[in-house]
Amino acid sequence: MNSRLKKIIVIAEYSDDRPAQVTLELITCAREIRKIANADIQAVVMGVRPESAAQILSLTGTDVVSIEIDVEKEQYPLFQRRILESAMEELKPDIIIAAHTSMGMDFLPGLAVSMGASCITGVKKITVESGQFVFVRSVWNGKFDAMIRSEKAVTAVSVPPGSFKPADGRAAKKGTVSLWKNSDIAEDRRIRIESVEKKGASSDSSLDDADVIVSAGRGIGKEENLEVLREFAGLLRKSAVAGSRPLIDCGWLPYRRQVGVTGKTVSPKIYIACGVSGSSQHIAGMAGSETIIAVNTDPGAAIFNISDFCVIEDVVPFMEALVKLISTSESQGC
Amino acid sequence: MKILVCIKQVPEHTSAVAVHASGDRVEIPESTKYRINRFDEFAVEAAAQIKESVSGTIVDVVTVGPKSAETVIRRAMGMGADHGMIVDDGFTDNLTPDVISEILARVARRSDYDLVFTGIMSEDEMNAQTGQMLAAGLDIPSAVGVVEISRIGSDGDIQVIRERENGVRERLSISTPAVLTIQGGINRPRYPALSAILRANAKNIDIISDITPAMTDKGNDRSVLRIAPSAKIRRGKILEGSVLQKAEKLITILKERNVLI
Ligand SMILES: Cc1cc2nc3c(=O)[nH]c(=O)nc-3n(C[C@H](O)[C@H](O)[C@H](O)COP(=O)(O)OP(=O)(O)OC[C@H]3O[C@@H](n4cnc5c(N)ncnc54)[C@H](O)[C@@H]3O)c2cc1C
Repeated sequence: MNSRLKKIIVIAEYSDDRPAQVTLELITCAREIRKIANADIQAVVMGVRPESAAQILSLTGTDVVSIEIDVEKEQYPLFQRRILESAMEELKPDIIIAAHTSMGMDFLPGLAVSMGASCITGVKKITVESGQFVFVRSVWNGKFDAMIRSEKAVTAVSVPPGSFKPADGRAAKKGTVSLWKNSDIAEDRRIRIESVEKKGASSDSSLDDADVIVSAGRGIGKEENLEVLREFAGLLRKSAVAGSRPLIDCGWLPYRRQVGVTGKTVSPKIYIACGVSGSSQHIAGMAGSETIIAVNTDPGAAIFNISDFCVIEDVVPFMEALVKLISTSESQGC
Repeated sequence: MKILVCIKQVPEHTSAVAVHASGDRVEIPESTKYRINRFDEFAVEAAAQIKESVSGTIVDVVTVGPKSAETVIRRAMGMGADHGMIVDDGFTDNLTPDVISEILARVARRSDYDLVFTGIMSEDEMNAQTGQMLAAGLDIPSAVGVVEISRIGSDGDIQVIRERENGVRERLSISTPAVLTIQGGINRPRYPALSAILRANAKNIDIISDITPAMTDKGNDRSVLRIAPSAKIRRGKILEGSVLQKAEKLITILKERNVLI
């Protein structure tokens, strides 16, 4: 795909009548592309009551298409995809930008298939080289970045939350809002959302309150090795032990101790990542920490890229040595 | 019930994986051991559990990859899969999800599968889209990020829970055939018993060579221009010395920040 394009479509998400933060970020992403390619940007807001969110979104200066769907159709995600497909036929985008979220990842790849588009997920940056767009995405749990070129006329990209600054909602000139109704799209009831529930709402705020978070990753090897991390945390003021998702998935730590995009977002004074690779899903939850220290055997692990201090060591013996050293120097002090 | 589980192999450890001299792909050392992509391992276990609870269930497992991927196929068979298949891609090119999903769709069409499982994402390419594309290709529904399979109805309906953000979960009813992309934590993948491994080792694995990327008349929908180590965002001072010296340096850092009790 070359950088002479005509239209960029941003697919919005909203809740409580407001566009999601990530949607505002996608607008910025679209504008960065426009700087290079001078295309039109339009946002599509689809849902049962999209209009308020569409109006708010238009305050960024973006033209918005607001597609209202009937309440009884809200619970059929496949049906919604059909509506989106037909909207795309009408809007004829060259680039579609969706959020790399559970919603975006649900519909975007299928939409790309139906449009014969290229689908490039997890795009955190877009540049141009020799007149062609280059999409940058993380691979190998964040260890490498891949620079990708689309080979199709239409490209669908998903952009992780936090990749761009949100667009300002006080543009000099408001965008237009067009109101669409889903018309005669064939129903598709093969998937039905029965209910939505919230998991493990808990009052445990230990991660929020902690000054130091000692975080365990799969590199610790086995559950028993959590013990030395707990011992270490016990030597620190206002500390808590947390972990990467696989440890929670194994049941080694409770869900409320999970850091990352599907867990908690934390920003302690010190975050100590022990045997964590630093995948984007984990980093999303701890990148705001004041000081980040990582212990990992792989000098190329992605976690080191966002660390202030790097310890290239086998984590368990290192932590044992650390605990021993702190304990003995304390007793010497007495 | 017939289930197809799509899996891929990934290196057991990634520390030796480096950017290839060509700069447009990674180099994986010859000696590298492979394992099942973790998310796919959850998918295999999910299928094995259905097989144990719904009598007459048959579980097939497939990978698009080199013949040497036999190791991970056998592992999946040790966990409970009945048949293993490898679509030998000759490994000439790094295939993209649109091509892989088209190949898988062709495999799936050869049998009447009620359910097709994939992991939610691979740990190497991290595309997180093969399952959804496969469903679109087969024109069947897909659910992304399944963390529970709650009910398998005799009426061809299943009920699952899929994970959204912030601990929110959606309970879905889906009519089969359907694709489920499985998220971590749905179960605890078993360690196959020795007897199961021996049984799996004695079985044949089908090498499928009559479905090829060329047949799909889908070129890769993208190309990789370059691969590079990801960018440093913080200074990343490396603590040097012996284990003890590194520990001492770390203690100094903790003391400076006044967090040691
Ligand atoms: C939709 C979705 C949501 C997700 N949400 C989250 C989330 O909220 N939080 C999260 O954490 N993940 C999440 N993940 C999973 C994420 O993609 C990674 O799989 C996960 O973060 C990896 O965990 P890890 O770093 O512990 O394990 P690995 O990636 O396996 O890394 C282990 C690390 O330990 C190192 N190591 C190995 N042995 C040693 C040793 N002896 N000493 C020191 N280091 C060692 C290795 O070099 C490696 O870097 C999500 C994935 C998806 C698809």
